[in-house]
Amino acid sequence: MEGEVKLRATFTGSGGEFFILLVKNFFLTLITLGVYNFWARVNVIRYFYTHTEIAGGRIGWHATGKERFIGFLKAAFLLALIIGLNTLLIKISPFLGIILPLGIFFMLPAVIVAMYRFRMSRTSFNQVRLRFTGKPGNLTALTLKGAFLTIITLGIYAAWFSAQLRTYLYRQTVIGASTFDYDGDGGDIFVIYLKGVLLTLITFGIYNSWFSAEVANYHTNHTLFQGNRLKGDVDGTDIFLLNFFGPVLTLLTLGFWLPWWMVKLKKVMIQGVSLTAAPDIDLMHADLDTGANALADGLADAAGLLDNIADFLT
Amino acid sequence: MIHQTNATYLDGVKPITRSGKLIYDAANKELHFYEKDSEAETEKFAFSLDKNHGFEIRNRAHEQLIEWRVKGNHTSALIVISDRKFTRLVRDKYLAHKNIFWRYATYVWSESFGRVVVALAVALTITGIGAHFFMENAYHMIPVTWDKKVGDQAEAGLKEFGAICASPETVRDLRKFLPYFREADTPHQYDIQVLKSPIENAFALPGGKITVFSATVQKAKNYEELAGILAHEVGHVERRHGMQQLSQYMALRLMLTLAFGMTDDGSILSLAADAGALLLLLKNSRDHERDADAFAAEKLAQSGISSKAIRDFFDRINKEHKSEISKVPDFILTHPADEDRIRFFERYELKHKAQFRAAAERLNPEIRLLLKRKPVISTACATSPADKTPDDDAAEPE
Repeated sequence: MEGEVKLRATFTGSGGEFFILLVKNFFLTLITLGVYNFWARVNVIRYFYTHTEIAGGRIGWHATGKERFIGFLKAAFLLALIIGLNTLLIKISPFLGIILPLGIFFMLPAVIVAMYRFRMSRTSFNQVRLRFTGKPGNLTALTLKGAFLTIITLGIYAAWFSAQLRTYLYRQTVIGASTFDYDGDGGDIFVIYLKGVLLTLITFGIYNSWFSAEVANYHTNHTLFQGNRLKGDVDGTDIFLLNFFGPVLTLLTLGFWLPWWMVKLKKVMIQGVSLTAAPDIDLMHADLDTGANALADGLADAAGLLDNIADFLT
Repeated sequence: MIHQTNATYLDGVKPITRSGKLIYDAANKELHFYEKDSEAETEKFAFSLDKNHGFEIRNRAHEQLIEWRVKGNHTSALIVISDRKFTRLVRDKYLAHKNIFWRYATYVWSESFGRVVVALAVALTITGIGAHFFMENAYHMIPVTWDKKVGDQAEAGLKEFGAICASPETVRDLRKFLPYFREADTPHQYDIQVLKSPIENAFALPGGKITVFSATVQKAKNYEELAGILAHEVGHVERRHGMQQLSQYMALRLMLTLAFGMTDDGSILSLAADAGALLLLLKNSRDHERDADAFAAEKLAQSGISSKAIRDFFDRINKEHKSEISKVPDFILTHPADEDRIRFFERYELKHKAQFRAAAERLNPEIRLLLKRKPVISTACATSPADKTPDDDAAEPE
């Protein structure tokens, strides 16, 4: 290895640049009656990703607005078809109306897997794409068990369920021959949340900043890459200061502070992550997921839009 | 001509940054990358790009990124340079086959801050004018027959103010004024009702249902006052203000939903946008009050009914509630200041004196008598002053 590898993540984004990006997104979205929204969101994520540097490499985001838009159109068509079909079924018998919603519920793991496949295949480290290798089958078993236990334990099991889900998602995420791993424990997560929620309530929300820092650090500290642990040291005080002055400054500047606030918050969260060992570059050669597409994300968008329309009409 | 600049290259296969020179061959419109061979101290040819490769040029702080997709391969490769002149040259010559809009768009956004500001100002103006035009006129697209349906829907909201009560005599007397105020070819079906309430107020719902609060009837010195209020409310119905507000609200919500609704980080943004929308609608609502006043003044003058009574009404309201009203800044107030309204009616009547006098001569004697009479109210609707609670708001005809 030549030279010293910078193990701590750095974020080089600036509020000014991000401000121009937001303004551009806003106007193009308005002018195009919302169609540009898909490009706009790609731009925002890409801005945050490409300004993140770790171990001498940049993170990249390669989704395009076009593929997101096409994915959305396909999904909207599919959803319209399902809703139409369901209306017909309900007309025949109200009991038949349960079939499709139930079917969609059981399809959810497949949608989540497709979403992760798309997102990972569009994420890169130094231009080398990540890959999500999970299969819907494994996730179905996991979610069914998790959902069932979460319901009968009145939500307490959610901590363990989330740890299992994270382990599953991380283990299936690879770059070439390198994998991620997660070894967080449900019990720890439960204690963190219990403590966090109680203290946040007692301190009238002030503790929330340290709570979110602790959660972020816990997840980072239990993430492994190529078998080496990551280190998280986000300082709650930094989050608190930003979120305390953020709203005040945003109001005083008639909203202009907002991009700076968002960028600074991102910087605190990203720069609180570091590797503990230099990654082995030779184990990170591209292995591209050619089947990944934006349909699942489109489904999420279409469902979100349905929500918005319902919200708008009521 | 051959142009060159230092560049780093990421092939999308290995996460290794390779450095070397990027050379632009203007004659053949090709980009060549020569990788630096550290051992031999020479540069060896790595690859060429021609204009058939689909690629994108983006900025990242002070660097320019050229990213392209390798044909038949889903991954993409990247060249990073920091030479604005070189990038500009490549973009202008190399992407000449791309359409003009696209070239202009990339040009504006990748160049100077000044251009960005100018482009934004132009975009803002166009969007603003378009949105304003749309919001002002969108209600024309809603058929008039819908007014009644919307009005019926909204009627449920009146319950918040009190219960509808029967006062047939009041309604019968007020109805006699309707032919003077409504448009000759009105598509609306007018209906008047009385609502039992200690608050002074009146409402017009889209479609023609006018609700007068009982306190307004009780406190009125004569029917002339009520006639002025009625003319104002008919103005709201005829000019379809309710539908305008509804369609403006829908259009605004729609635009804001499109702009903010589907963002991933949108919660703070959408809150700010909602507050802005509310202020805009408040301003619009004041414009509608002025418009209804203008309608009322015109109809009163045409039918020969003096606006003196409604001016007195505003004056009285003004004096009674001066302390409360003055606390509210003008831009939040939905109604124009009372002095302004009084002055407006006064000026209009003065300006159209001849028309008013002639119409007053022709005015039906029965109506003329009615105007001077004290309005009647049924016992079912009458409220005693004791009903009025201290925190009841002073309200004017909506």
